[in-house]
Amino acid sequence: MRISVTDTNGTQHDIEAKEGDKAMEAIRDSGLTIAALCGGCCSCATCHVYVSDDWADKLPPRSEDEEALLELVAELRPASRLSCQIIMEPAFDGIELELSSDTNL
Amino acid sequence: MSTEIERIVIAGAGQAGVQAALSLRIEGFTGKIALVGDEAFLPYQRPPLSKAYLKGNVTRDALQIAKPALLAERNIDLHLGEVVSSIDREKKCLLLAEGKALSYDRLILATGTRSRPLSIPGANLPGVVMLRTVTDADCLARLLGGARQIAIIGGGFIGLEFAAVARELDKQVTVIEASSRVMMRAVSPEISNFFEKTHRDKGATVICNEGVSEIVSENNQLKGIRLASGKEFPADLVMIGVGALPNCGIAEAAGLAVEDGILVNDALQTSDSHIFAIGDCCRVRADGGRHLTRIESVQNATDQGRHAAYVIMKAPSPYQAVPWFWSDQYEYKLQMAGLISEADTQIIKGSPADGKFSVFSFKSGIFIGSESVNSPLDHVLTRKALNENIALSPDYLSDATVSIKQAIEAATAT
Ligand SMILES: Cc1cc2nc3c(=O)[nH]c(=O)nc-3n(C[C@H](O)[C@H](O)[C@H](O)COP(=O)(O)OP(=O)(O)OC[C@H]3O[C@@H](n4cnc5c(N)ncnc54)[C@H](O)[C@@H]3O)c2cc1C
Ligand code: FES
Repeated sequence: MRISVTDTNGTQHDIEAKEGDKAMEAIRDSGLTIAALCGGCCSCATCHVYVSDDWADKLPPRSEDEEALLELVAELRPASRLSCQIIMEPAFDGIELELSSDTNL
Repeated sequence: MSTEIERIVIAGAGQAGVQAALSLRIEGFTGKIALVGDEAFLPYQRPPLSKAYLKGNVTRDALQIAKPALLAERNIDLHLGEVVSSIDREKKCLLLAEGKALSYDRLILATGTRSRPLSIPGANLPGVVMLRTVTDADCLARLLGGARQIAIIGGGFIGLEFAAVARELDKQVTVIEASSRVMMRAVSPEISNFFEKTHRDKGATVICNEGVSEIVSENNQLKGIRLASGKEFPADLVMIGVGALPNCGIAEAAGLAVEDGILVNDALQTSDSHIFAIGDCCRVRADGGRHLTRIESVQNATDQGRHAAYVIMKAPSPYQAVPWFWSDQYEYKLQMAGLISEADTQIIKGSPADGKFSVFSFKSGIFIGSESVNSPLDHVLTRKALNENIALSPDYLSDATVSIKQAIEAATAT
């Protein structure tokens, strides 16, 4: 599967992801910079991404944990998600994500 | 302040050191940055070592804090596997064990901590482990597979997280804690009680108020542990988790002020203003000489890394970030904000019986922190309240019908 990731400089990258991976892990393992301080356990919000309009409603809704943590981000938008809470499945092949400023190290 | 600075050296390539290096570039530093670390691995995150990594759910590469490509792109010279042996403050240079020297205009000490050793008979036997580095974790994971009876000395975060992993693998687990309750230094009695009960309900034996006097062996083969009271527990794996000691030897030898950590002012400068200390190894001395607690957390390491970079490049300013921390044990996520050790009033909301509750701490009527179990919203709201210095009222919050959200709204409305 592929994920299209736009980094905080606006550069677009096409990265590989496996089914069952968290999107955060795929981004991190591709070598792109993503702070993900808590390692994906929904505690830090430094894996915050924006999902493109075409994809936003294809994802399952935010959990209560995710909803709560998104309160902490620098710029919340309707398309805000924590990439450690997006579990990749075939239906998400080609998903477009933009890294938020919260992901900077 | 930054104009005369050409070379910055960072001793210790962990969470704090890497953050400082990257943040210096973000603050616009264009000179040389050398990041020196004695471990052979690329800088990595430690929290998963007692959690997902032990279960095999996370690979070693995934622990890396920053990819080599990023460090190269930011022009950060990484010196891995090199021990800093001393600081020559006169010549402003750092001496490495290999005889190399790195001169600096500013030095940042980010040397972290090491596991506190336990000096009882048997502590060096094979099968007795501590957990700080990825090498320790690999060793522990290897031993865990074949172990049946595990004794854990110390009921702190690392010991209890390991206990949870071991119970999930259906190992027999005994935790011995010398003080009257688990995680005593960091959490309130309610949280200690909840996790003690949880570990017992999950089948672990938890014993408080007892010290371990000996690790027992026969023909150099681990047999178990003996308590000061004489009680014995068989074990084929012993984990010692009795806290950590700050690595301040090089600072002390260089004549910097040290006291359970390298002492720094609120701008994170040591007693030599060209030398900073950040992360687990430092203790911030607040105004009036009061010593703040040394904090061991990812939040503290990264926020201080950023702050030191800011002070070096911009101007001295007080470090004031709100501490936060998390711990995973079984299906329970504990999240903490602020520091609660000086609390005089604690208010519980939610239901410990249902495994979903928070403890809100006050000191002299001022809100100082929260501890939340499986209640992320409480954690987040109070973290924001602490960040924004919102004056929560303990009297209002103690009303059972008032939620933390309502209390915060009431406080911001006035
Ligand atoms: C098992 C475990 C679980 C944890 N879980 C959590 C958690 O859930 N949440 C949380 O917030 N925190 C957790 N922590 C704490 C967190 O990992 C630390 O607070 C953080 O790593 C501190 O960063 P640091 O850079 O100060 O120190 P470190 O990351 O320890 O880095 C210091 C580095 O300096 C090196 N060094 C020391 N002396 C020298 C020298 N003389 N020369 C060269 N190099 C030197 C050390 O070897 C080390 O690599 C955990 C820690 C452990 C061990
Ligand atoms: S990595 Fe921390 S919340 Fe996603």
